[in-house]
Amino acid sequence: MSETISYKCPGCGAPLVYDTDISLLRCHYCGNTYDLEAIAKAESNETEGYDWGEYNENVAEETLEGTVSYVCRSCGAEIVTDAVTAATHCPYCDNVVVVESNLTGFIKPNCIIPFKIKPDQLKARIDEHCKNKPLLPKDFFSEHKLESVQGMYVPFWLFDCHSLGRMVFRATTVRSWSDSKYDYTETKIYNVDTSGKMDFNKIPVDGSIRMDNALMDSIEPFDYSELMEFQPGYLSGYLAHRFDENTDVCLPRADLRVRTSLANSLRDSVSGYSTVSPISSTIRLDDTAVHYALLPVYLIKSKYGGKEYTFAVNGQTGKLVGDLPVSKGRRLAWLGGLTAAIGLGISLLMFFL
Amino acid sequence: MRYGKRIGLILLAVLMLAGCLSAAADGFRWSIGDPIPSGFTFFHNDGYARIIDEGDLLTEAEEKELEARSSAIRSEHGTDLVVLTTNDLHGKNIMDVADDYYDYNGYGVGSDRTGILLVISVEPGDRQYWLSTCGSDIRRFKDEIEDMKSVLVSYLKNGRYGDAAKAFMDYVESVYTREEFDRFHDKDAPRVVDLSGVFTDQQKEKLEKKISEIWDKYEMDVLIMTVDSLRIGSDPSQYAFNYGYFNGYGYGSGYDLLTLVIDTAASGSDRCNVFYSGGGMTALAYESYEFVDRLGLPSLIGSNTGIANKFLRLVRCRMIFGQYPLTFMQFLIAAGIAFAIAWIIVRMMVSAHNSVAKSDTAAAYVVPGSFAVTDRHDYFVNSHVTKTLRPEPTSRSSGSGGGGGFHVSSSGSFHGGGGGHF
Repeated sequence: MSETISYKCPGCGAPLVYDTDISLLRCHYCGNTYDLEAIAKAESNETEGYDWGEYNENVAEETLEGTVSYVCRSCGAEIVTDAVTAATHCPYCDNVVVVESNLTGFIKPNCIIPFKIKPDQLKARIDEHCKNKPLLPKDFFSEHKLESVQGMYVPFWLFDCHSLGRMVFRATTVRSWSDSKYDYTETKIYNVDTSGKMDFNKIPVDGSIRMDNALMDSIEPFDYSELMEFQPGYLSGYLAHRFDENTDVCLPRADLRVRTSLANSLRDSVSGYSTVSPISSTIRLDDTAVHYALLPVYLIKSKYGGKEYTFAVNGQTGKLVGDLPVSKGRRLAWLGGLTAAIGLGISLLMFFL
Repeated sequence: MRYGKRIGLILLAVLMLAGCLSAAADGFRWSIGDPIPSGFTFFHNDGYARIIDEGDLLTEAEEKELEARSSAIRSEHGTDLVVLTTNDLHGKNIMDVADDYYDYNGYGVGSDRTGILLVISVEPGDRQYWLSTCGSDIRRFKDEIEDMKSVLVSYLKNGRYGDAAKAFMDYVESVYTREEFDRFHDKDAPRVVDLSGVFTDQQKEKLEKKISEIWDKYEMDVLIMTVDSLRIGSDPSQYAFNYGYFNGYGYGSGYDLLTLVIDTAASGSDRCNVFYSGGGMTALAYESYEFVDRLGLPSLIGSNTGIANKFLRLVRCRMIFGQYPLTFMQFLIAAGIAFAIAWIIVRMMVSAHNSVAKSDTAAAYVVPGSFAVTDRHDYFVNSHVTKTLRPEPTSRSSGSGGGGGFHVSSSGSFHGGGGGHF
């Protein structure tokens, strides 16, 4: 039984018919003609889902001696620290009611980046973050809030992979000329079939449900040259969160970042055209591996106008992120003041020019 | 008997010659639809009517009044004023009609046939007018044509053809009168001439004080005049101009004078007008619209004092800065642009508060040097050419005004003038 293959016009979606006179596929709706091989290649490539396969998960479940687990009664967060560090409040919800628990099976991380930023350095970071922000409410950050800030190791999954990709782009060149009566525009359409490869090392994805993914993405990057083999001693004085999102849950985020990065690079490699737009892509990953790491983070919480604002500080680099509130009064004052000042300037220009 | 026969023959010959001349003259009576006469010789004919209402736009009384006025001006100032109305130009150019009608019907005073002919044509769908100057009036009215046109159009567009013809004769007479007038300065004359009686004494005093300051500080004379156009029977601006000219107004040797005329019988944009006369600051002559534009709002409100005070503020601003304050519309535009820019700046300031965003790429974790394009093929799919008709070069739009240069008519004589549509 023979199989009928039909192609659709990339321009209008109407069926394409092979024109034996010109040996091209012709669209009887919009009149365009296409090379059969190019159309076949373009239609054979479709975007696929992530395919990390059996990645090498370098994680072993092992109960560590000398650690103490706590559970926050308010938000349910499971917190781990060493035997001598007392968790007096939950770093996620700021609730002081944290009770000791007999959790077992704390999975030993593969690696850890120790804290480099001390709590007493946070004030300077915050001041820097608030600098040149005239719309920030006055005294938004108060000293007493900073006193209660505690450093925490956030569980991260670090993904390695080798990516191979093939993308087809619809590209055009445009040429214009004129005679005495008409303006002409010639548009040439091409299919650009390109393949490439790219390797990634330790793409971090946080393994905590309670941690805002965007917040953790924003404190990147971490300097992996300071990545150490995990030792319980690093937890001294700090809290650590036990991961509650496994690799299967976190994988799509790493997968998206890999595919986007490779697709962007392949797109950037196509030059010499007026327009370039992707019509299909196939990206395959291999040599995948996952590492479990604890990375240092400070969480700072503050309230304004009944809304809670969370700020995160990269405990290694000191990078502080977090959306700042906007004072309505200051916003209106600035809008009015700028309108008046610019209006005066424009009026003077109109008056004197 | 012999002498009687001879005398009789001589009388007969004289009568025949006179009859022939008269017939010849009558034969040259030229109408718009007539062809250009060949072998034409210029002549004078004082007996022809100066008001020819072929278009039936004038009343009988107006015709009589204008005819008498034209005759009086011809006698007093030596210029021939002719008004021709028609509703059919027979496909001819209105300028040619005006020139030919003047030439072939023996109009004009003196050897250079000085005079002006006003043609008003009301052909359906194309109402226009033309002023054809001849003789010494070509030079005399070279710089006056545009002003005269603006006066005429204000009447013609409202169908006041008789008033337009009267204003035409007023204007010509005032030019001749000014030419023969020996000007003088009268600094003590009142600068607020309230013929309509709309200002109180206190208001007039305040306005006089402000005008006096402008005189002292900025060396400019200002006249504020209220008139009732229905009572004065002529164009208010022309009336105010003559008033200022003949009554000693104007600063310095150039007689620099800015005049505000408020016509209390008019409304809307016709309510007030501003014009400059003099020789010291001729740039102001082209800026009267600047004043009128900015006086627009109070004129609608109807406050005469408001108009006068605003006019004086405008004069002060113009004299101090050489510029005019912004109009209300300009101010609104400036405020709108300022608000838009301010809003964008504040939006940028607000967005600077946001530092949290999901990352969709992993560029920071790419192994250096690991990216490589391993294969690439470019396939030509197809091409298409679109062609669009180029826009025709835009033809110069015909404005409402007509040229005022010199030209030679079909009879070979020189004419000046100008006209336009209404």
